[in-house]
Amino acid sequence: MKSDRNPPVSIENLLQLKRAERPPAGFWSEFDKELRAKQLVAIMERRPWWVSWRRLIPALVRHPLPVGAAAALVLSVLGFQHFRSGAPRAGVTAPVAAAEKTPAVETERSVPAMAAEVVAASSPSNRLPAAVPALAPSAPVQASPGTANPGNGTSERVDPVAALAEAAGFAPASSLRLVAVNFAVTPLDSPEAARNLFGQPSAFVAGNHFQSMRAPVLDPLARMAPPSNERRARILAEVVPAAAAVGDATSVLSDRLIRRLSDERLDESISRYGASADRFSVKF
Amino acid sequence: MVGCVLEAMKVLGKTLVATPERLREADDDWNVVRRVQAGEVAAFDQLILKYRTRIFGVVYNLTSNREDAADLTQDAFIKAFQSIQRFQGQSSFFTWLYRIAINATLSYLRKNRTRSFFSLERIDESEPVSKEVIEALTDKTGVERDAYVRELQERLNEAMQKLSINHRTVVTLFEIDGLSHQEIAEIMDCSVGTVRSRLHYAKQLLQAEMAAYLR
Repeated sequence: MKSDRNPPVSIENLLQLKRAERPPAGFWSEFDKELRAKQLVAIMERRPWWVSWRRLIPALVRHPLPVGAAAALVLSVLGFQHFRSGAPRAGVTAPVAAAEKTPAVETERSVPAMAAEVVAASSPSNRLPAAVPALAPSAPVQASPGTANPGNGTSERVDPVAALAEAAGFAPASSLRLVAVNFAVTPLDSPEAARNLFGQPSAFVAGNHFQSMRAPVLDPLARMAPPSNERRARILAEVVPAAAAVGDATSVLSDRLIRRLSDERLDESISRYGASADRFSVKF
Repeated sequence: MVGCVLEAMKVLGKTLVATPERLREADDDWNVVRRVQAGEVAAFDQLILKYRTRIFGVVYNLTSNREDAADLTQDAFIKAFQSIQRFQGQSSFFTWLYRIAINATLSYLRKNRTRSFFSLERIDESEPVSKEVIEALTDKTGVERDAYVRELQERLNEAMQKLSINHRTVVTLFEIDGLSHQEIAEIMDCSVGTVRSRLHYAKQLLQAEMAAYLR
């Protein structure tokens, strides 16, 4: 140690010694080489996409209130748009699930067209409800008999689901259309369909609640009279003049005759029976 | 009396705000940065040559390890090079570069708290300040003098490493690198009062540790 004649040494003076520390010779050349190599690697390597997003996090954290308000607004708008678009959810009926597998572009098509495709693809002809062809674009439904003009083909196209929704007092949203299509093409009598629709078999009684909605839906084959009935009615009109005059082929007498006479016997007896305005003749 | 007050105010102002030399330096740096941003990548070498010694010195005094300091300094320049397109000149380039280097160093030190391997650099006694301090501390010569200086360096490094990371950073930037309180506050993203408080506390601790070498 030096004597007390020397100037005082403070902590600042000691720290100035550190300022004078120098690395050994050759250090900076090695430093530059390594830095150049790292620089080249940094230029060549592709930075991941989330690096740029990661830099936004501090800025977002710094302003939590505006960011939160903006996020809430965006979520609200998106939720509202989703609600309005009526996008089908997962777990609904099989036809809708099949429709969900189609590309997103097809969701922009009209619902009747989708319904026609779904019906054609999924339901056999004997189960085809009468209301479904009316949903197809090839079979437009007229708004009222008075406004229709089938002759010139200028009848106004009316969406049956929209008309149904309007009559029921609902807004004709596209989600309602999808629900209507599902109801139309799904056999609601089966418990599987009820389970597919609502997920809870115990909470839904298929035969009671929704049967009334399907009441107007009839099998078109069931509504057609068999050809034999028409033929019998024609023969009976000749055989029974009173019944023919009335024109009622389903009268009590004709019913009894129909039950008694088979088709073969009727064919054989055609030439033996004769009828005129005031007489009835039988040839033997 | 008046002269002493003016001198004190001058020193106080120097510690609080950036000096005119520093402002001129910042303008020059901004011109170089704009050239780099325009696509002249080679211009970044000027910034490396200008700041590598200072950045290395700061990082070395924080880590007390030469290899770590070299790696962290290189990483700081690489990060600055990668991000230079986002530098808008709102602060001076050296403040921005210091911030990158110190943040990387602090992150490294927090991850490697248990590391205790220190390296010593040679003191350049050609600088008048260091020569005066060493001569004031000892009248020994030759090998004894060198041993004394190394012992002093080791004790100083140990005392620095006993400080917390934030206190060590403030002492390093102010006493060793000569930055103002305001510049340190910008770099460390804290207030000037916090910088002063940390500096005062750190000096008290260092004085207690180095009491045997003070007079």
